[in-house]
Amino acid sequence: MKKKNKSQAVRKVALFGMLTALALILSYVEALIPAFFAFPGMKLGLTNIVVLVALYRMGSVPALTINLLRIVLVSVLFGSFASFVYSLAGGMLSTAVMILLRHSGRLRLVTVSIAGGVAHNVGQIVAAMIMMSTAGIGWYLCVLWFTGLITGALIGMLGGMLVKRLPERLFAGGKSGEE
Amino acid sequence: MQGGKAVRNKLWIIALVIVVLCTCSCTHGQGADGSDDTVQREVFAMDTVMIIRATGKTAQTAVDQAVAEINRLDALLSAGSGQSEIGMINLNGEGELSEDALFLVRRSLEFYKSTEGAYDITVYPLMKLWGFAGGNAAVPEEGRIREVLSQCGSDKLRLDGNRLILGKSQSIDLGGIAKGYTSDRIMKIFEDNGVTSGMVSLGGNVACYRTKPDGSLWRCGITDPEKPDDSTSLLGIVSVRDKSVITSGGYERFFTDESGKKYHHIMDMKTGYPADSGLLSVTIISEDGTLADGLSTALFVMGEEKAVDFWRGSGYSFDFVMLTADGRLLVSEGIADSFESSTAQSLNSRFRIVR
Amino acid sequence: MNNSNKKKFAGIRADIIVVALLVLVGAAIALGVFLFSGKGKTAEVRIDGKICARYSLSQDRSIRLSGAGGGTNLLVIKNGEAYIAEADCPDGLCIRTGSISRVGQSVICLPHRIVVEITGDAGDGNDIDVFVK
Repeated sequence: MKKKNKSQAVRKVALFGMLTALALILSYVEALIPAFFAFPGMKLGLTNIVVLVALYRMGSVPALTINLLRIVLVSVLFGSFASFVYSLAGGMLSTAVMILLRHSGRLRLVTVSIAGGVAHNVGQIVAAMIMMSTAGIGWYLCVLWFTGLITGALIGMLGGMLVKRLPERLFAGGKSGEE
Repeated sequence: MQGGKAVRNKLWIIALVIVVLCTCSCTHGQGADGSDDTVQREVFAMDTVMIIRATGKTAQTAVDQAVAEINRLDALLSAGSGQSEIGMINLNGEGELSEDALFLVRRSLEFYKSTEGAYDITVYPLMKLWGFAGGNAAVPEEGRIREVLSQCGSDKLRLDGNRLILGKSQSIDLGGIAKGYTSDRIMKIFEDNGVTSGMVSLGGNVACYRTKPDGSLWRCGITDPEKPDDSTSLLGIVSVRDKSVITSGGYERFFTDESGKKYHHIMDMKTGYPADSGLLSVTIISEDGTLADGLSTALFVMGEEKAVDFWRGSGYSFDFVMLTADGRLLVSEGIADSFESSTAQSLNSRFRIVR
Repeated sequence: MNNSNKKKFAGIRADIIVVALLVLVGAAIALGVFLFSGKGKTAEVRIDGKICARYSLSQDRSIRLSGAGGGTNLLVIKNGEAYIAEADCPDGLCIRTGSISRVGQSVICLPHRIVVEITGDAGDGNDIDVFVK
């Protein structure tokens, strides 16, 4: 255990804030380019870059916290209750899956990201099935399953580079005990 | 510390940028192509979905008039609103009735007599007590029910010309026939405009004008009370022309108490409690929408035996489809040929024709 | 961390297995959905979760739907396909979804809480015009 002094606590808050803000910005950037995608819920998942960095450089709890904060903030800023439920279901499921797979210790970051991308979309679809009381959106599940695979791979490559290259001093104080 | 401040400053700028960007939104739209002369409007109003469909050269005019008529009658007849004619009478204990309201009160009194009180517009205080007219739905105290019930009864209403005088603490609700009457009025609008084919569904209260554009009968699917939201599970389908098809059932509005018991909104004025007559749903098919609406409630309250006797002896012209709590489906003779039993899981046998 | 560096091959093998599994399950779902869905016969409209109408796909027409919050979408049925031609929702995703015609396909307008879903006939050719509730 590292000693926790005041300046470290401040660094930690700043780091969390910065990453959350970054995730927020990426959420917005993504909202700006929907023209490419034809279905609700079909997204690049840019924010997952931030979640991956947090997961691999800071630990499970920070990753979960930052994603949760991001979802709540995005919903408050430009979402509705429905969109909150969808992104909560998707975000939490994918983060949980990524945490589990990462801790299995046998998988590469890209694979973890791919599984996370698929889990995100599955979570959204299941939430939509419940909210809309319709089981007939199997088509969406299909489409989103594969887009999750592809976007997960893309994001995994990007995230992998960042995880490798971001300087260590950035994360000093932001790590949770498990690392 | 300085680093923290810088980050905070950046956060502010970021937040500002987001808020500014957030206000820009884009809408999409492209040309419509309505190719045939069928016009349909679906209006999400009064907590239900209203569908109006008409075919013919004047269909658009007719549908617009129908929507206006729905809004006019709703504003006139709503029991709860202090602005409406009925709301004012409920507030003041008496008042003048306009043409539509007078007609509805007269018919209500007629139904009250013919159904021996099973249909009663003075039910409103009881509805309020149970929380079905806004507010929290809960089982009231026994004493309160008896107190309110003692003041109810359409026999205490006095109609003097077009002036209605309520009994002490009374208030009325024409909601039991208002939708049926509204659909009758829309049929009239269709006729006046020379519509060739039309249909309305006012939150599930259906009326059909003539046949479908292709000349075939309108196929109306009757909801399965056990699965009201499942379109694949139906009690059956009635095929009709120039008829209103209106269902009453305990599944429409209800609440559940702590022990899981269901309380629905159709009151039995003999007990002051939700009607528990052994019927799950009553559908009335008649040319007269006002009648169909009123009788669907009344027969639901009466129960199987009385309802069948009423159908045989009342002199009114109507048909019924009734589902009993033990899973029997009863269909009256006049509609049996145009009725198809369907896929409802609550049914344990095919339907029986009542003659 | 060291562990995965030493057994690099084993690490990649696990990755390949996971990705292959994901692709296979996805393909299985796709196959299942495709097999179970022929050309639909009706478009079912739900507003706020409530079924409010079904339209035969064999009859061309356009219907203006009023959803939650007063927004409208123009549903067009043409040549056995259904699509949203116009909508005043902020995202316009329902328009971009395009035409649907196979059973189980749907157009969803989240802001207006409208779902248009293609259904087959209910077993025995029941093309129902209106639901009585």
